[in-house]
Amino acid sequence: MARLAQALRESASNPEAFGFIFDDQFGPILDRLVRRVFDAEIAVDVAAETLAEAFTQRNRFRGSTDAEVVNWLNAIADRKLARFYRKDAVEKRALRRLGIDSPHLTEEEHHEVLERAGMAELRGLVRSELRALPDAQRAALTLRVVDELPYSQVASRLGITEEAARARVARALRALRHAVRTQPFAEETP
Amino acid sequence: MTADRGRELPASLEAWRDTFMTAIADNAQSPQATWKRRILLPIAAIAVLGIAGVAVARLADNPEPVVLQKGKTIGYIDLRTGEPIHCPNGAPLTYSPSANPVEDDGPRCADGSVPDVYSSQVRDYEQWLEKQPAGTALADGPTFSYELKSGIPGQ
Repeated sequence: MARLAQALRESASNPEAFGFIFDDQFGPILDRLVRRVFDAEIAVDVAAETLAEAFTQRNRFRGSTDAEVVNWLNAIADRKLARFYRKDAVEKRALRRLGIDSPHLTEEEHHEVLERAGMAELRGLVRSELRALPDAQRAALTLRVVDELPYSQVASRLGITEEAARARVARALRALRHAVRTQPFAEETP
Repeated sequence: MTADRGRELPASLEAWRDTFMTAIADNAQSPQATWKRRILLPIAAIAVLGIAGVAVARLADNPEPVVLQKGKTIGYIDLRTGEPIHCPNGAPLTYSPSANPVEDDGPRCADGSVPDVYSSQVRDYEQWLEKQPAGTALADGPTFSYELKSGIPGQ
């Protein structure tokens, strides 16, 4: 039964129906965002803006199934996240249109949000995958990502060209990304 | 569906739900919102149509297609043929670096595939790179990417 799609349709004339979308989808959207940005506060801001945008754009949804609703919401969240990466700030246009701000988390809730998104498992997975990388890639990735060195310094420390350093880091990131994405908790699909 | 039922959100987020629901109810009933929709949407539509008209007129004046942004999107050459590497759907393989390197997956076709010729050329290039000592000038090294300026070669 397409309950999400039905609730979204109903919300065009009855905003209360959108409560079902919120209850069902705010958590999964938030978890998915946390696993992508590794930051509870940014994820909460983007999730809140996503729901606000979904409400203001609800009449534009053309699907009929719950999977389409979930994909539509995820597409809005991805767009908001892409804008965040471009501008280094979370867009809050839809929230402003509704006259509200995004929720504020306490320190304890900050940890709670990270925990419910499975960040502990994710950290463990990244740690073991990092150990499994070839030495040359692990060294390049550690210098670039953990020590935050510029590529020129990564290259000189490893005695290779800057391009080779970039290639090693890119390969290492690709391997980690593949490992993370193939985990059951990585993406919740409808 | 209902994937999240039973997994409670932190108290602040549960409380924010009420704020959100009140705000959307107010927004839906707001006479100002209706007024804005009635007055501003037609104005916006007229503006968009005007801008689109100007853009179409410019295209008609200048038929050269500006496909992708200079300096941001690159394509790849098949070194055996000298032609752009194409995807199964016939489109050239292109790539626009993402602002977030962790999300960056490299060039992919619309169907998610990566042409074999690209993969093997990258492998060869990376093997060549690994053999170059630090400080080597790479300007003379092999390359098979090209910057898209105003269209795609061969199209």
